[in-house]
Amino acid sequence: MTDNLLILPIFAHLLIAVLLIFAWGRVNIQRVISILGHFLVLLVSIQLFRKTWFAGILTMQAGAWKAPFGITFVSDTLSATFVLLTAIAGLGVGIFSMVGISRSRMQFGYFPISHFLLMGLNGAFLAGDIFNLYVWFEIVIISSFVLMTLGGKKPQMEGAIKYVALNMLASTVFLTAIAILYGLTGTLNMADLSQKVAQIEKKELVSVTSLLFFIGFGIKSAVFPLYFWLPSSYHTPPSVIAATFGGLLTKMGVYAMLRTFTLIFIPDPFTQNVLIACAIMTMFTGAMGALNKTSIRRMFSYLIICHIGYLIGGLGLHTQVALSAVVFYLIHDIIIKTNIFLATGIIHKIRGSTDIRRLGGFYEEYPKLSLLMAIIFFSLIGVPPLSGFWPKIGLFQASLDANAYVLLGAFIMASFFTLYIIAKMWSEVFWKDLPKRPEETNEFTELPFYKQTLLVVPVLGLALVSLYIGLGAENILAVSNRIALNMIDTGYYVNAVLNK
Amino acid sequence: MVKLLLGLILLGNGANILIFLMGDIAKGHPPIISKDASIFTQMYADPVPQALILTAIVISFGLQSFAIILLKRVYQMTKSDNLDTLKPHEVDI
Repeated sequence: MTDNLLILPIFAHLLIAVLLIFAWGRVNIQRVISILGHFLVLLVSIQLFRKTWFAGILTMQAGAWKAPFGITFVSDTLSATFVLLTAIAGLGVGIFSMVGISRSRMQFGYFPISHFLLMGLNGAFLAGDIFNLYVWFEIVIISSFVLMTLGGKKPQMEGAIKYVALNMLASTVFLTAIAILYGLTGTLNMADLSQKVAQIEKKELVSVTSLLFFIGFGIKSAVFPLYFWLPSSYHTPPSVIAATFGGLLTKMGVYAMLRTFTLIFIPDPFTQNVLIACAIMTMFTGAMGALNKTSIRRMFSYLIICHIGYLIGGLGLHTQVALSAVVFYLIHDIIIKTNIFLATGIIHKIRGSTDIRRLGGFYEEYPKLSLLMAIIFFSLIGVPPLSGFWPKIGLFQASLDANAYVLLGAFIMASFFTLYIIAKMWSEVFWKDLPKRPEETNEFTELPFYKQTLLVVPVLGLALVSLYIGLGAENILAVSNRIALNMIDTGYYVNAVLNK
Repeated sequence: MVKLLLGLILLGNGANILIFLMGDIAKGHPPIISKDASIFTQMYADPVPQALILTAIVISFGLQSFAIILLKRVYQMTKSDNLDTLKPHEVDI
């Protein structure tokens, strides 16, 4: 079904970002525009999700050029779900950043750039053309470069070098893969590619190209052995920015991988084994990395990597149960990863540090806030019936069905280590007595009440979303099952785009 | 750091040239259908790679200029252009 309004989530962010540039430097006006903008995008995204859910799939052909020739935007259930999740996480981050980011960073364009970033994300999720996907990726990474270096502190800049270099490398590999794919098929439209790639006789060339895509997206989504930029850069920017990055940017890489490896390249047994081996190593190294870190931000950075392993492993199994679990895990993960970094931001405001050697006594001083964070961490671990539990059951079941016992063992090990890391973090930060420290700065209690509320509300809101994902799992499962069905049966997407 | 930069620029240009080669090169055959025909009857130059390269050049130009400024700032801050001396910091901002 053709629906030209499906680019509204992209367009709304563009409009807001342009408006924000006109109010350059006037922080209070920018705050109001930005927060209204986030609400507007949330409404538009809910509307898009509702329409997509009822219509099945929506398409838009830019300039009315027929499908394989023009640029196509497609909103299937997967895209619409991601746009909705981006809007929810974006709203949470937007509210938190009213207070959680320094005034000087706001004056140097935090708000417009963050809207450009979200615009790029929405564009990447709605793109139906692989080169268009590349362009949206570039919009996202250039915005993320600016956000990463905004403020210009020394450790930030040093972290940014690795981030910039590795991401530019990833883009180049992605572009190379597109070039070879175009040479092989002569088309860029993803639906058309799906058909033409299946007809290519030289399967080896297709395998090599698909692995080039895997390397490009793997760097972006921090898969073993390409993840080293993430832990050395994600802890340097302010918590709000780290929340956007941790929640959304790596997941964009996973989204692109899901799209290419279900629609364009159907993994052969070799590619499946590569994916599963990378997934196992990603889980293992992520968990091991998190064990010996003393800064909770760095611990969480490694946990991001560890949990990317779940997603890649599920993709490697490539059965309907596994894909459904992967999508469910992504839905859970975007919300929870954004939220743990926001929670870290509150801890940092209160204690002036994120190093566990200098933290403690949190539960004694802030029992209600601690309980709220307990919900978040329990969801992250996957204590039944909270949100992390259901997708893991699906992944376990899928790996049992496929007789992939090593992968099953890795899933269980990664869950166990996540539990151990969070338990250690909890006892250090919340239960241990507060160690003697030279300086006693508590920015949080110095803030007026409404500003404290602005910091707690997004964490509470995202925790409620997590609770809903856990307790209303049958609804989420309905969404993820339908997405998985469309991933296995690519004909639905192809026919809708090419109007057959 | 200069080597890093040169490498990134070379890689970007290499990818652009690859796109150029991957579109079928046909000299002297513009992609215009002649008056008396309704479809292409002979080989023609594919116009899509041009559009792709143009986009890719602009994007890589933007990224590279950002990288140059970033590396210059880091050099001013650390007074060293050796990447190996950059240490991961366990600090909070």
